[in-house]
Amino acid sequence: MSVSKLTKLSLFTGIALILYYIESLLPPFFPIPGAKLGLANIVTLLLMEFYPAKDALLVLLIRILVVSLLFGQMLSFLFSFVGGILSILIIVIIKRILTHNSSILLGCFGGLFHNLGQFMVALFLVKSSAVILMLPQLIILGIVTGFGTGLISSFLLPYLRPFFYKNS
Amino acid sequence: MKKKFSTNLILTILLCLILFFSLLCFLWIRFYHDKQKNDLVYIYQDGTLIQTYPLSDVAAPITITSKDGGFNTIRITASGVSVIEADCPHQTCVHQGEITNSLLPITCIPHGLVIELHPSDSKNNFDADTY
Repeated sequence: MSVSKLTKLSLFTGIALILYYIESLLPPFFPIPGAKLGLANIVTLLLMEFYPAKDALLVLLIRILVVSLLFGQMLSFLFSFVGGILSILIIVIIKRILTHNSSILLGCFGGLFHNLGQFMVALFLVKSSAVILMLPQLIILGIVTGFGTGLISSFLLPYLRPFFYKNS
Repeated sequence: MKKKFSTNLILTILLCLILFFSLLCFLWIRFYHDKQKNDLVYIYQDGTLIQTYPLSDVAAPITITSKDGGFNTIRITASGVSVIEADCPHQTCVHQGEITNSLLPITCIPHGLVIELHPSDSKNNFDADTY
């Protein structure tokens, strides 16, 4: 890994951490417990645009690890881990089959599968069929917040292109 | 240039369909649960039912201790049930406030606690009714 790439990845890990922190300070946006905007996923989306998926995965893993160390919750580690890996997987697949690149579509599917992953963890932990009642709203929220992150990253992409392609 | 059928279009349509059906499910669940009169509190710990209370006759808050020593204090009133105090890190169960229907149970994942409201006449075949 070149020094330039290492620096950029570290920088983006930092941005992801800050976004996560800012998001935890915001008041709950939706009237549903535990629902979040997923701002840190913007970083994943952006990195997937410029680097192979394994680098985005690396940044994601470091972000989740640092967050659970800083805020000390192994439980949120499990949730973010499964959700994050599923969303990166689906983004890789969708990216392959898209005819035109579309950050918004990638964001929607990423958000959707992020929430599906978290749903599976919740189902596994709580072992109550009542969790299934939350599935429809998790799907809706995943797509809506994913649309938001996709929109933001599509706005940011043109400005970041020179940053990534200059002497790297 | 060879013209290929756009997968973007297919995926967008797929996404809209998923969104539409989950919205439908969401509304259906909401409608179904609002119709019923919910007057029985079910408390589950790690997936097993440990206690039930009727909504009407419990005055003092109840404290449930989890296996790892954590606690949730539950208040039951005539209108619904809420968690008023807990020592879990996120406090999601406390922030959720009072629930008055069976739509969304209070869930404290760190302590493995689920609190549900159900109509007293349907009892345990609730799941069979819904799904």
